[in-house]
Amino acid sequence: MAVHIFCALSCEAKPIIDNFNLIRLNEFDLFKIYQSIDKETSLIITNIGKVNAVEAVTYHHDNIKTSEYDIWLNIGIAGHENISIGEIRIINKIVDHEDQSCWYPQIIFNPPCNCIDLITLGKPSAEYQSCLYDMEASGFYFAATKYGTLELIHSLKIISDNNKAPISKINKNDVSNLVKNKINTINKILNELRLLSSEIKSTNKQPRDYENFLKKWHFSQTEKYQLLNLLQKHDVRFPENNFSEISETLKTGKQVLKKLRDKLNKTDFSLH
Amino acid sequence: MINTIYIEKEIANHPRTKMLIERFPNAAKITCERYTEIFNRKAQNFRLQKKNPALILAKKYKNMVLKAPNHYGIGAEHNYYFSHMLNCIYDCRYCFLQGMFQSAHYVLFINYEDFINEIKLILKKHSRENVHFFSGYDCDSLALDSISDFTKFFMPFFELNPSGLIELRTKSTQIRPLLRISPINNCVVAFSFTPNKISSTLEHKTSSVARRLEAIIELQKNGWQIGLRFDPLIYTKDFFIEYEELFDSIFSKINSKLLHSVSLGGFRLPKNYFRKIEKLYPDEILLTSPLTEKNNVLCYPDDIQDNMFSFCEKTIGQYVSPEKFFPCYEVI
Ligand code: SF4
Repeated sequence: MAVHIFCALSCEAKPIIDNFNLIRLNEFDLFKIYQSIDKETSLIITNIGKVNAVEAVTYHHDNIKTSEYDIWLNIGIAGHENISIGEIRIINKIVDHEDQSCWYPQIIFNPPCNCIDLITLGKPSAEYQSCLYDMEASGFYFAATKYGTLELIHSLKIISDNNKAPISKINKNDVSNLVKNKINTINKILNELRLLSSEIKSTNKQPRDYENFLKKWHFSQTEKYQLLNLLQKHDVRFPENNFSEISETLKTGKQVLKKLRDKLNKTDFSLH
Repeated sequence: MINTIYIEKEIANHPRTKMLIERFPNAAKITCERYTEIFNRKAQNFRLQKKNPALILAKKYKNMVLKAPNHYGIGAEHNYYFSHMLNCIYDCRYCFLQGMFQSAHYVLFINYEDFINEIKLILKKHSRENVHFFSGYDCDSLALDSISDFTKFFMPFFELNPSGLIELRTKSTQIRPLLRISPINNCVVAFSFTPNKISSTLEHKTSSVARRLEAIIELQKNGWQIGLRFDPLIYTKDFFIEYEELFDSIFSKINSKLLHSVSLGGFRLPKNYFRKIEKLYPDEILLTSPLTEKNNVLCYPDDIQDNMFSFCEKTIGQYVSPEKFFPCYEVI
């Protein structure tokens, strides 16, 4: 499964790019995209604002192969009235300030940091409250849920400013350091998400003989689906048994499907 | 353990909500407008959520008490069901809830009073007739009782309204709340069973057959009416041996004369639910059972179903009189 990371600013992205040894993919110029050599981790700089976040997610999906088993992470800085600078939070509710739509990221693992809700604003604000503020999360989440699985899409925010230390006091270097100091926590979260991802990925194994059967016989689109389903069942029911041997003499795809159905229906069935 | 509680704004200050929240001081509390914002979202994965379901506290507005399907019943002419909760702490692989809901989170509708009001209207409509109410349709009636206080609230009502009978359908052994109160004649605590081996293969996180039997014995001792539900019957090569053992162990331990009712039902799942469960658990052997499709429902072919039913009817017939026995042959 691949990991897709979305940062609004280059200074937020830098420590992540360094940590995962990501390399800039120069063929993409609408947004800057970086990727690891094994293509397992990629990062896109979305630029500021939720509209940019939506476009960046779509652009990323269109250009980098994504799947429903992939992990989608929005990582960035955010302000809060009194949480200490440098602390990290995982977001459990995102409210879009403009249209008041809400999203609820599904945190079904034990996160190594506290959870909090967040409001995505259209414009920067220095009025701190008891929730986090950012300018991208609602756009990111809205777009990512079109391509991913809810439990694998998350937003992580590192506190950069609060009532005592306003945003005007920090520079790009400070931002990079804030993110760098939380790479461990980010990795812990990624490990939890990888476990979840591999669990659902394992539900999409292709049956042993599927590709060979498609080469050997003709199946219509519906029949291909039926073949996949029947071969999957066959593999579960008869893990030791190779169906291709008994199908050697069959002439058409329809005969193969019938033979598979008969075998699944007639053989003694044991649950244990 | 509940780590996250979603709370609908409208009921945030309801005393029952407050009481429930207090029980989970460490859980993250998140407010929402309607539970459906979380529960019905697409692209959720039921299997993943089942690892750590959240609790959603909500209010039910309409369709609080519904007519039960035609063949659902244990002797009354009028059958209704209501769901104060959606989803279940157990994880039975044959359960239709996995196919029906997008989410595995537990939804608890906390406006019990509104359920009662609707039940009252139905009782009024059928005055002088027996009406049965089934409470464990979209959940297990007792499994979360220690949190929901469902029986604490509903039992006194039924005690005062004897023309309505309530069935608590369960695989739980959480019977303490019932043992704390006097038994109510118009309440049936109905335990579902499959044989030991089948149960340990398919009924994840449930208590064992033996522990369910202990619970029954305890409840019977205390005067509660008990029902037995062999629904769904699950086919396996050694069906006859396994079910014979199950019937033996049950009827040798409990007082079958005191039983309120026994019912049977075959394994069946609407086709679209079945397909969804197949996607969630493609390695599940149950789903490779010999099955056939009838009116968009997947069930066992007639020969298997007939054999299972006639064997069970014959065996159960040795212990239970026909007027207490309710086999349901229908698949829809
Ligand atoms: S106990 Fe009943 S409701 Fe709960 S998972 Fe099993 S079948 Fe479903």
